[in-house]
Amino acid sequence: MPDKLQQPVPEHPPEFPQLCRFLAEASPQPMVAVEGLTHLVRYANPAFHQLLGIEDQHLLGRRFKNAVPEGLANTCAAMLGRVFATGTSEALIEQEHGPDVWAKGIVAAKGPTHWSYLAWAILGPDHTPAGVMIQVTDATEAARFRRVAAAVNEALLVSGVRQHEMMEKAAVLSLLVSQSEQRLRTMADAMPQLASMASADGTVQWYNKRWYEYTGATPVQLHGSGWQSVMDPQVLPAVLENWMASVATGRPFEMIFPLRGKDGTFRAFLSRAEALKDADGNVTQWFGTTTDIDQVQRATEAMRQSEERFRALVTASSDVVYRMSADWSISHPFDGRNFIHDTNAPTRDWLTRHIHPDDQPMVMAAVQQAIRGKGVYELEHRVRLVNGTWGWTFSRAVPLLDAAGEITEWFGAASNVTDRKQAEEALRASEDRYRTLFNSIDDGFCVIEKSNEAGEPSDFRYIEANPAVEAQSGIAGVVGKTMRQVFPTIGEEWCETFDNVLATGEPIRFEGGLVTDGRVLELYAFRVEDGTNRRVAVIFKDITARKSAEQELLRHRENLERAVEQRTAELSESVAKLVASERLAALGTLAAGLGHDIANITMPIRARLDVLANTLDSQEGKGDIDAVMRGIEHLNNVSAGMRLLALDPERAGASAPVADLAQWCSQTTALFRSAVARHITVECSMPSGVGVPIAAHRLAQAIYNLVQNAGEAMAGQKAGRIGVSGEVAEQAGRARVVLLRVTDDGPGMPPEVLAHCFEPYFSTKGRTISTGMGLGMVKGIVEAAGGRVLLESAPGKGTTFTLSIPVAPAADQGTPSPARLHTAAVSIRHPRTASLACLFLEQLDVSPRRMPSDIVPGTAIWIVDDPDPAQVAAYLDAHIHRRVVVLGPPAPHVGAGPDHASEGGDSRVVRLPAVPTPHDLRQALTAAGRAARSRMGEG
Amino acid sequence: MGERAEPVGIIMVDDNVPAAEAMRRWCGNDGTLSWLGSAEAGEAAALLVARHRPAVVLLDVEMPGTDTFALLPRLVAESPETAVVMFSGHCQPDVVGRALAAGAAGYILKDEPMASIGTMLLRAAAGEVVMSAAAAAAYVRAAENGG
Repeated sequence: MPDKLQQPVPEHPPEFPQLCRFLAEASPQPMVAVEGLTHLVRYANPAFHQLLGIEDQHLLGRRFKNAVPEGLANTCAAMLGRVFATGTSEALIEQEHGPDVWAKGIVAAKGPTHWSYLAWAILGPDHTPAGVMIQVTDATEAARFRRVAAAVNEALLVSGVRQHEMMEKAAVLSLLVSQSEQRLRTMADAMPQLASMASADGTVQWYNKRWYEYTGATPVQLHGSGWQSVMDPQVLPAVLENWMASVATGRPFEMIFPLRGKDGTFRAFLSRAEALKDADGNVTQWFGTTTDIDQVQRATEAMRQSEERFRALVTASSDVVYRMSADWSISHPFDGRNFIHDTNAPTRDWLTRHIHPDDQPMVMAAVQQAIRGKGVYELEHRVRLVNGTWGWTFSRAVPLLDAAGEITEWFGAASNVTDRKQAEEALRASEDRYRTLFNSIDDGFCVIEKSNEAGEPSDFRYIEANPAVEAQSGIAGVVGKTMRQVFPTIGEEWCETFDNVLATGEPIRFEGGLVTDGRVLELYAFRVEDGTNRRVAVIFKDITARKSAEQELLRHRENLERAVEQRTAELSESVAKLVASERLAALGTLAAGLGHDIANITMPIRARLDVLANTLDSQEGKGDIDAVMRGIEHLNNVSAGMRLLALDPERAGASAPVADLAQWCSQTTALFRSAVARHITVECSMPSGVGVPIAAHRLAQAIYNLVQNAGEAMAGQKAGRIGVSGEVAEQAGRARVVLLRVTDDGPGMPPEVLAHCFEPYFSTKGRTISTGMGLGMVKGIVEAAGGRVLLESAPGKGTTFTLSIPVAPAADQGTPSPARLHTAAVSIRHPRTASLACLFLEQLDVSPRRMPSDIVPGTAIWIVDDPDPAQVAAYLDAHIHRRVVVLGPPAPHVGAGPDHASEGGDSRVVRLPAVPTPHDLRQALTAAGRAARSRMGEG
Repeated sequence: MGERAEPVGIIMVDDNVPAAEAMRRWCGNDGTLSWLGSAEAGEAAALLVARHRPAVVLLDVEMPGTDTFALLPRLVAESPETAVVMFSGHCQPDVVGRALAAGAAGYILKDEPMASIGTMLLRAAAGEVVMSAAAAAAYVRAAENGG
């Protein structure tokens, strides 16, 4: 409503409103006028439009807070209200506006902006506020400026405060400095060194007391550069040069130079000066100390020399040299000398680095003890060698003490004793082994030492004895005693032996008998080492048992040798005989075979001869045939005789007792003839019907032997005769004997031969062929038959052997001898006849066909026709197997008739009548069979 | 010895031909014996025996190629009425015993006198067991010793 606005207040000139309007229009400041309580916008100048970018149509007539952006509106709204209400003016200075103002595109600039607002009331005609005029002023710069100004102010304020503080501090410091200087001077006076202070230009301004004390100069003398007067003039220029250089540069000064003391002697001093600089680095003052190092120098020199020597020593020795801190916590670097690892820098872990874990506690304990006692540290312990294995070292360290007696450090040397230790170990192990051996060996082992002095009788003392000493010698507790004490009797002898061993070094083995219990010892003594310890070692054992065994063995061997000799002689004799007998036996077997063949061959001859004999009529022819037949029979006889020589006469069927000597003789004559040389005749004549209880072949061997002996005895003669004969001899009151004689007309036997000729193996000559048995055999054969051999011989008278053999009474009528009937009968169960059959000798001439079946099959039945039961019993005992039943005819005196019970109680004998009928035989056989069965049941 | 109406038939089994021939001659000369034939080996012998059924067979113990101890029981079994008598040059006890146990009717040695042989053949035919003395001795001794 421009009109309202254009109505000026009466006091104003009429152009006032236009002017106002013009001003407003032209004003660069944004202006806006609002009317009424609701602050309706009535006017906005171009600048305002420009500021907000809003056209009139959007502004005019609208409420201020709606028309303008928030930021602006809110800030002004309250003010508008107040101004309108009060009718005054108000200013809001520098209101900050944040992002919301430019975000909305109000202003281009980013960052906080400040605006100031000026609002005054527009009075209406009634001089009451009708509206408000607002002028916006960009106060950003102003705000900024104000802020800066405020800061500057503050800074100035603070600065002023600080300056004040600093001034206060400076005052304090000055005080302190002066106090410090005072203290410094006091201290400087107190300290033993010579101390001084100089100004920046190098002029010394103050000396401490020591200067005066030492130099003996006065302050006046020393003042300023007075110090130069106590210098060595020769050194002074150098000192000055250095000093001036320091003064110029401000760098610390350090120099050693001599100063003259009040006693006039020059001593070495180390002089040092430090500059005190100000804030700009300019020197303000110099502080210097000058220290008497004369002693130190000397000490250092001595030390250096000592070190030199030490180094030389170290270089020369192969030990590792080490240095430890006073408490052994730190090890200084050292050269491990290829023994242990080098240490190239000070180290705290020397313990773990070098020393065996198990030995570490021991080392530390020794170290602690050494430290405590300030004494020498000495220990052998294990260390790690450079090759990584564990070795041994002997380590020794001495403490270095300062003037106050406190330990400053330790100097040590460690030598490599690994080899020694290993040797020691080996030695210990060896010692252990030795000890074990010593104690466990079976032999007594002792070490003796010469115990006598020169001139005294030789004696040795027992130094060591193993447990076996007592066992082997029977003497306990010898250690400590001497030989003479232990062995009073043999001690001297043994001592001599040991002296010899000691002297020569040669060991000796000998035997000794102990008197104590008679045991025998075998000792071996040898010198221990080179004898300088005068010891001998003795090993011994009890050989008593062995000795007796040796003797026994010797005896035994002697016996054995003798026995062997004897047996060898016997054996060679036997072998010779065996060989000969084998030859003979071979011959015999051959002969037996021959005999068999001859029987085969001659049988057809005999058969045909028989036919011829029967068919021939001529007597002469018959005579011829007869002769031939006799020849054949003779041949058969010879072959039968040959069987007697067979090794197995039983197989040859020649083992039966001789039933008839005459028949036997006819068989064997040829045999006997073959035993002697051709120029010796052998004649045999034997009684017939007489037999001997000797097997045919055995008798043949016996007679053959005798004939052969005779033949050999007569070998040298031109001719000779041997007679083989037999006769029956009755001896009153005694048994009948057959005397078989072998007589020769040879040289006879001398008495000494006569005495021994029946001994086994006795021979007067060697034999190329022999029966292998001697006269002993002959004797044996005869004596086995109950007979005996008689010998008659005298030199020049020939020799006669008589074999006297008992036989049963002569076989006269009715009393045949038992020897005659050896193959009487055999009872067998014949498969063909299914019954028993008996075989009978022709003598009995009885031949029953059928026998009772209850005779035990396989039983051999002997029919004895001797009446004498005793003879029969004897015969039975000698010859008859239990399975053989013997039947015998009754004795004549008993009488005829079948008496089946045996007399004398011998159930093996069943009586037969003198001429038994078949019936008798049958009955007898039955009884015999029963008896046999019962006997077999017994046994 | 009983009376005999007819001659006793003999067959001989032996590889020794001269021996068999001689026996044939001899038997022929003896009126009591009748020669029926001879064989040299087992098979022929068995055939012969089977054909003739002799009273006595003379069986040689040692014939090469013939197992006498197989032949013997065979002959005995095939011809029970025949007496098979062993005829040998030797008499070993075990052989004698074995022969008898196998059914031989006897054991005659070849050096037995001819007349004795004749008698023994007749006796064998009559049913006896005939043994030469030496054979009997051998047999008995064997029995004594544990047979």
